[in-house]
Amino acid sequence: MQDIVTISNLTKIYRIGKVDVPALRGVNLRIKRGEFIAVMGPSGCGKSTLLHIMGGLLSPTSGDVLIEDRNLGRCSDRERTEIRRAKIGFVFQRFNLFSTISARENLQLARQIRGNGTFDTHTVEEILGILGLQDKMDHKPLEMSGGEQQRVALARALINRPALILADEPTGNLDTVNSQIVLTMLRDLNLRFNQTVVMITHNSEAASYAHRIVEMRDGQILRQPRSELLVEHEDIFSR
Amino acid sequence: MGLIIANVKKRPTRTIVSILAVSLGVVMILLFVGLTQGMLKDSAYRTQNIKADLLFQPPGSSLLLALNNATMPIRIKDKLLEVDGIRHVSPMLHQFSKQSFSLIFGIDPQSFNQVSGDGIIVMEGRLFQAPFECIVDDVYQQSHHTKLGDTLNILNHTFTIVGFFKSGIAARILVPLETLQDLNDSKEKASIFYIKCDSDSRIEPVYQHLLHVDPFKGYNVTRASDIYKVMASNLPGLKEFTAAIIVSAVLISFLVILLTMYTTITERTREIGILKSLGASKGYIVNLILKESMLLTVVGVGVGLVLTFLATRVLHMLYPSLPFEIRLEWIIYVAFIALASGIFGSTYPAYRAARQDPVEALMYE
Ligand SMILES: Nc1ncnc2c1ncn2[C@@H]1O[C@H](COP(=O)(O)OP(=O)(O)OP(=O)(O)O)[C@@H](O)[C@H]1O
Ligand SMILES: [Mg+2]
Repeated sequence: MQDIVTISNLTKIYRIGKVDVPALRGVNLRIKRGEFIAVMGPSGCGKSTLLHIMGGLLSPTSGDVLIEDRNLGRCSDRERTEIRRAKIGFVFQRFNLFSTISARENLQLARQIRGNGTFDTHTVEEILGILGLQDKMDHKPLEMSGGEQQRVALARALINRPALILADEPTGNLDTVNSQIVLTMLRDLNLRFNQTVVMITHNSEAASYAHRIVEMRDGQILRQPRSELLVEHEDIFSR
Repeated sequence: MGLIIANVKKRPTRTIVSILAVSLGVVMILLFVGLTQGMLKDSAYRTQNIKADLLFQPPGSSLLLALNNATMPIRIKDKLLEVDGIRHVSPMLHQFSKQSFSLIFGIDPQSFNQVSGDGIIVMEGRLFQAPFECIVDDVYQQSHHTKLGDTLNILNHTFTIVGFFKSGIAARILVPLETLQDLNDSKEKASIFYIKCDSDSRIEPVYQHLLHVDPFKGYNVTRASDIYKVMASNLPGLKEFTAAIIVSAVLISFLVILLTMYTTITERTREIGILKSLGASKGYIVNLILKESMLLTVVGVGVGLVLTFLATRVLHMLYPSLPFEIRLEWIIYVAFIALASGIFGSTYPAYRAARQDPVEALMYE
């Protein structure tokens, strides 16, 4: 199957005054379409940096990041914005909904930014159905529980049917019950729509929902752990 | 649009303050321009309606009579009548009454009617015949609810109102010339001569003669057709003052919108980060900020127009004779100025917002 993300020799160095802070030191990673990946690792190892670069929010210092066939490292800021708009959906730990407008308006805003491309209302209904949000759509974020807010954020990320969902600790602010709900939904959406998901998490239970776990240390990806091999074997058997 | 309205509603005080600042500018400009233009037009109109061909005034005096009280000897009238082409001359002496905030003209009805043709049309009562009688026009009558026989205090003397005349000519209060001369310490003096020529074709030669030939040289002579223009130029600093008012109004709107939008984008740094994460382009964000400031200025202009309207109503009730002239072209002009200052005021904040680093913005507390 075609790779949706291909990362090679990616580095990112932050400059604070005159001090260089290397956040990524040569990351290589391939992600297949329809994969659900969990990225784990200690705080400060570069997980968020990697995710931001994949989503075109940040430009790498060197190396290549291909989203489908577009190389983000070689794109202008404007082109990266376009790729982000067309192909990426973000989900954050802090939900990041607009608090002044209703859930429905939050989703409409995302659609409006995407532009009025052909839009499949059936899919929207289906997504809302899976997320169990139909009767909450006119509430403002602060009138909802954290779990509900995160589901709205998930709907917002999904509503434009992006090729890739990037989630940075999506359950970091949720209790166990809500975490399970959100994770189950992520997995359902992944199965149902063959939606590619990259999820950062500190929680190994959360990571267990993924097909594959990528471990990071000090700006690098560790050798692939056994769990991935298992998944790949399963894949082979299931074919 | 939903987001813009939500943003505007979120900080009602700030929104109201910026709307009021914009509307204050609108009110300032419209009231000032409306009043100056209205007054100029009104006095030009009333002067023109006297139907004199030429106005003759002392050297250095102004057509805006409220602004000067220069006088000249009344015997000049005889000299003027000797000029070839002049048929009638009517002297007038004026006095500005602070009490009624209006001009009082002392006229000589006989020569005034010769110059004026139709002259003063008395609609009720009669012309004054005794020294301490006066007539007022219908506007004065209505605004002061006067009846015939009421009295009026002018220069500490009591005048009886004996007639109402049709407004739109000369001043609102007319008294006998001699009486005003006496009270005014201006015996045998006049502040203006209204001149009627033999025919229209004689106006220009007479005008040139008065301008260049002694003993008239140096006096102020104005053609009827130039009255408005000369009045406007007589108003000292009108242009400068109008410009100053416009500039301050623009500056107020500009600065308040700048401050409002600047605090707005700082406060919403995070939201800008979210928009960017959703794929919003720089143009989208600039557009959003500009639209929000446009909303504020458009509402500000609307409120300003309503306030201007109310203010003219109130002023009209307090000073019924104050003429306002607020023309559509000025409304359009002012709306345009306000919108432009709104756009300029929000340009820098919009630029700042668009340039926000998305990752930093997302981490902003
Ligand atoms: N804007 C920045 N400027 C300078 N250094 C930064 C910046 N953002 C991150 N870093 C540094 O880069 C390194 C990687 O940060 P990153 O946020 O990617 O870590 P993380 O794995 O997401 O950590 P956490 O699990 O705590 O979220 C850290 O050492 C961090 O201090
Ligand atoms: Mg992180």
